[in-house]
Amino acid sequence: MKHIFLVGLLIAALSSNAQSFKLTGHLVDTETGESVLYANCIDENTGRGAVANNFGYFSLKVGSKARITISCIGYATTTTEFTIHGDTTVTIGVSPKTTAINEVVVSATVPVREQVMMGKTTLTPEMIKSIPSFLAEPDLIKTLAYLPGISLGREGYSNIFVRGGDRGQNLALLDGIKIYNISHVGGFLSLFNSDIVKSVDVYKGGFPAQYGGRTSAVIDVATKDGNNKRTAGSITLGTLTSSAFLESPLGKKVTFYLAARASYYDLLLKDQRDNFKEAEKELKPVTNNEYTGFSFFDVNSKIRWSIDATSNLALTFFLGNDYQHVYEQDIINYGSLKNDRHKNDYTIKNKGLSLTYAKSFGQLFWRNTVSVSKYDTKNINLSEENIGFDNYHKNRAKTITEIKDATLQSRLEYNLERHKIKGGVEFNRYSYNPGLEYTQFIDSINDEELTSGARSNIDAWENSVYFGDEIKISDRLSVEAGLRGTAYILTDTNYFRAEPRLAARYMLNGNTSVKANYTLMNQFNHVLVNNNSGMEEEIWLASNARIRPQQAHQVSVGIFYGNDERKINASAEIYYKLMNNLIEYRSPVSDNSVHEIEKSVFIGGKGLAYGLELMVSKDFESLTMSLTYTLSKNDRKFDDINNGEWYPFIFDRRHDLGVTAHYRFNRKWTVDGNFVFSSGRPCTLPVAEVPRNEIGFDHHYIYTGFNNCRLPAYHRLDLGVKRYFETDKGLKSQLSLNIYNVYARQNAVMAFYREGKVYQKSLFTIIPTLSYSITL
Amino acid sequence: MKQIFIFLCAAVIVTACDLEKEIDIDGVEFREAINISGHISRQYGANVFVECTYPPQSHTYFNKKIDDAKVYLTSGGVKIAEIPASSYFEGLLYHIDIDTFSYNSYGVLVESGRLGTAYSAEQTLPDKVAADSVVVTESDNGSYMATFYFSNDENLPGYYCNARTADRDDGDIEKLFHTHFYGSDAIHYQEARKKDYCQISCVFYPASFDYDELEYYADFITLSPDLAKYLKSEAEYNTSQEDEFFDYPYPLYSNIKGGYGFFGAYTVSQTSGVVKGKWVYFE
Repeated sequence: MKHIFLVGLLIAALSSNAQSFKLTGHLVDTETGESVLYANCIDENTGRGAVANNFGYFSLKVGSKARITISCIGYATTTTEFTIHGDTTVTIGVSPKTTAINEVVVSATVPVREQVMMGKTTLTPEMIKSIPSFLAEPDLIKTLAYLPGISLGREGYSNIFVRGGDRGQNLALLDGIKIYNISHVGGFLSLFNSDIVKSVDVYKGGFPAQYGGRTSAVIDVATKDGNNKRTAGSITLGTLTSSAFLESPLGKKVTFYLAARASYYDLLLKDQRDNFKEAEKELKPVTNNEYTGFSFFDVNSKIRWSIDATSNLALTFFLGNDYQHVYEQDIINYGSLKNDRHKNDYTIKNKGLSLTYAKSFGQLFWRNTVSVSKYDTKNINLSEENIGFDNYHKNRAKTITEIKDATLQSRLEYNLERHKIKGGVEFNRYSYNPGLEYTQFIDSINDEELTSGARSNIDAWENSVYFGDEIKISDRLSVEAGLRGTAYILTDTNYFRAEPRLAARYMLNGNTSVKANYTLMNQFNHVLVNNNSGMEEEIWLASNARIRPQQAHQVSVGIFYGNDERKINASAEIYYKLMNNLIEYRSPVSDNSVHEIEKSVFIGGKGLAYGLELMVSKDFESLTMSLTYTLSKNDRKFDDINNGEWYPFIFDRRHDLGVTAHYRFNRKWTVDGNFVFSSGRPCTLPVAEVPRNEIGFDHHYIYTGFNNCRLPAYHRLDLGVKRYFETDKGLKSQLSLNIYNVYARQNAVMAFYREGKVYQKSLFTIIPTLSYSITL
Repeated sequence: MKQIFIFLCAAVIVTACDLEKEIDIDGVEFREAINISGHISRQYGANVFVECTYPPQSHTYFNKKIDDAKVYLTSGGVKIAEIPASSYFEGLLYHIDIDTFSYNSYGVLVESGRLGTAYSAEQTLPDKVAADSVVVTESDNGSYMATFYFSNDENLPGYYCNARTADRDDGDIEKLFHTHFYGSDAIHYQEARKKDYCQISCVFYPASFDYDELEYYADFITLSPDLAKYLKSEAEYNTSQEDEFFDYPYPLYSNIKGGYGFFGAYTVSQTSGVVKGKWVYFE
């Protein structure tokens, strides 16, 4: 009897196993047809769960009857029942919440406490748009700065500095396109148009094996697919910038979007520019002998073809240009002499294209991306000196720097019940031109023209292979282990690097987890920031025998709490990061010839950053608040700087506090506020001076060290009020009033001596801006 | 609506102007202190320039004396001689001719009742090292370049060279630091010398172009570690001062405790020779 019972159990077990099927789901927004990313998917019948990937696909092992519940921030929780007879692929519609104003919580869509990888945050467009912003322009990068451990550097920046890293140590991806310069017009706005953003994954601590090539952070931006239900769009009119967005289906399977932004600051200065040009032509009195203008535009577009329920092909295009013009003339007004003129035109161009093919084979997901990207700057200086009788010396200098890449990535993800296995290859072909310089000299008396130029192209391959596995060891313990191997190949120098990645999460209970993480990252492309240009020109350099690849070891541990019922999240993380082979600007770069640009760096630097990061967010009924605080120390050491002693990194800030609040009065009115406070950043000022003496020492200033003092603390309060309108015909619009720096604090961006006293320079005080947006 | 828009545009432009105001910053308060600029060599004894610091941007050309300063030469932390004030630049320059020995360490100590005590880290006087050969070439503009060829010694932190003609006397005291550098090769540092065999060059000018033969003196100088660091920082300092951007000033190396400045040691190996001159005609 006992044997019969056991055999019966075995048959039942086998029978049960035989009725186990593979359910592959693709989650889409019921209103727009957009894929819904990172949603939690649970089969209520078996209790098994999965998280949709960043293409909206998930895979679950289910029985013949499945009851799938989908939950995701911004969407109503939905439950769908299926009767299944075999492995099945389904498309599941998920409805956005019906409230006109979404709840905003700056936290991950997947509860942070449940993620294995530390230091990962996922942002949605609603989060980005909820933060009161500079010029009323929602800004992804400035939103990221509200996360602990991430700062903007100085006021006006749209570059981020993550856990002691420098601006060039962040990998920014837009649908797989590498973005080399993420800011517009000297950093006032970021290059990412918030209209096109679907989700943003930010990694600052642990890095999955598929990411490499940078040492500090990854910002992986996924753009929208385009509305496949109807033609839609929006127009936003701002004080200094405006934007337009259009998305539409093209037939049943193809969708697209097109987005554009432009500034019109230059138009507001038209009179000044015309006046300058008039004076330039003739001997004519001018009211202003200087003209400084800047402008920018960017265009984003994507076409997506849903080949079938399991595969799609997407083409993404991006273009972003910036222009700065500085014109000066020295008024002469002698007889018939023309004025001396100096013109500087500075242009930054980013452009990229990617083609992505994604295919789901049930538990297996395959993604392939081919992308090209180019970043280049052009600096043209023209100087005309009138030497009398309409004869002149004319100097024209043009400096171009650029980096471009062609990248092929192929990645496989295989989801099992206790394993999420990832593996792939990545081939990058880089072409660097750190300095292409032409100079031309024209002497009209001797009818002489002299032109010289030089070119220094460097090509390199960066090829990687990686493997990673997220292993669910028990219900409480999960581990993610990965290894990435990279070969960096130049003509005369090769580097081979292996990067282990390890992360572990242990659930103390349903609400609390502890995590630990170790990563090793290498960076083969280096950024040299040439501050001489006034626009902080970035020059990308290759690794070579002298400039070795940068490396960062990072260890972090943390405790994470989340209570979905009480809508509260909290975390505390500690990190320790050691960086090697850093480079630093060595002045003056701009005066060096092309071949010396690569010598214009201090090399072999070390960096040490460690700190504590705290975050609390709470969602009340109408009020959402978050508080972040970072206590950190961030030092550098170069043999040739500060006499080889450690000194504070220029963006070291001991304390960094951020508070954001979002209050919903009703369906028509919201108020947003944010307050930031941070310790002043280091600066270098002399404490004394001595005049030239007679045994050969020149006059010099005396400094007690590099970055020997600190600017005053930085703090600022911003407020934003939004009024939502909706006509009877369903036309939605939004009027936003933003006030940047409400109490008009003059925050220092630099300090300097004048007549023996220390002065600070500030960029902005209070800036009110208005924008009006219509959603079509 | 249009007026509001224009007003806000104007508000942005007006408020976004550069704003400046006076501030107090901790750590940069001025205090009068002793500044030392000095060196010791086997050939020229010890020369120490002692002065009082000024607040930044004082725009003065006059070195400030320290009336009650007493200056001592030290070795092994012990005062071995008081360095008397020189007849040149009285109250500022202190000079002593003293027998010095290679591999001995020397430092300087300055005492002032008003400003306290400043003393340098002691320096080991390097031994005399001669370049293997010196080649002097003439350029089209009338200058000469002396190139020293020498084998590498990893124990020495740096080399320095200068050259001058007999008819262009820069004075013994000044000549070490007044040499016109040629490129970045005028100083060779230990970490830069990967090769077994090195060369450094410097240029020199005759006082006039009217000569048949020109006698020159070429100095090959071995540096103490702190002097090598100082000269290196001086080169960086000079380029950083030309950089208008604020964030990259480069502090000069200092090995003085209780004050500012530096004290170094060096040894000169001198060669001389004659080059044939030429007449230069001006149209």
